[in-house]
Amino acid sequence: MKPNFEAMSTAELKVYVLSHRDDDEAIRNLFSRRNPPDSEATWYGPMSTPDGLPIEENIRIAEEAIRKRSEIDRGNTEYTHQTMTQVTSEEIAQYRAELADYPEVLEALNVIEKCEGNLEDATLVLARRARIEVVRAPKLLDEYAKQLRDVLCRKEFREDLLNNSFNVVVAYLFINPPTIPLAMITPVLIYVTKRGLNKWCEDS
Amino acid sequence: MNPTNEQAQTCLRVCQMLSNCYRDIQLFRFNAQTGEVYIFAGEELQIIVSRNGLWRFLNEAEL
Repeated sequence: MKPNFEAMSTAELKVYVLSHRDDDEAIRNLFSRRNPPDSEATWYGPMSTPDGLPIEENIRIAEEAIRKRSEIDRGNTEYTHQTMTQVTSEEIAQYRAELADYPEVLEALNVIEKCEGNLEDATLVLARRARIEVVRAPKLLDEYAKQLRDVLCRKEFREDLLNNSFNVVVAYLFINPPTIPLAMITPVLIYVTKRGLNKWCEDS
Repeated sequence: MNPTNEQAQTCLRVCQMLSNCYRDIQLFRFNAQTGEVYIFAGEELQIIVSRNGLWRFLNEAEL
């Protein structure tokens, strides 16, 4: 059964489209989210006549526009790279000792260790194993973190998390399963604490 | 519906310009129902090429 594309966020729909490249309905829906609508948009002129002669002025304008937009887009890419989250081997050892009773957590920690502490890479591996489609790990982590927000920002859990102690929160989440896959709890908790929990709770 | 010549020429130029700017083309799709070409490149660059060879960015808000 096809998902309801209308109800998807643009980020979700992008992820869906990139993993269903021949789904014209989904692609059309994504590209129908135009800002502004066609009647108010800046349309750039055609770059050739119907018989194939180049229209130099329009080519020049297009080059300029695409160069500008590409620069902004490269900035977005660099931002993605800057948001790499590193987990140290000491931290992994500490989480392992504290959360030895949770096989899902231990498995996630093994993956993080294998990825040399790169949380985003580990997230992609864990997501693939859980059969979740992902394009960018930070987006997935942000999205899942949001879904856990109500729990993580509770005063009684926040203090533990600030001390890098996950035991109480993890116990709670395993008894009251959240909307996110259990396999993703570990990377999300590490992500949120590394981002600065207090600021995140206040901002989001 | 088939793509038009002006559309094809514009697509060729747009893709080459994106390539020159180191933007990977992630998705390229001609939609036979609307007659439009959809291009998704880099992180957040989406371009629509219409049948008459005119083209636009899906989202202008970032500029």
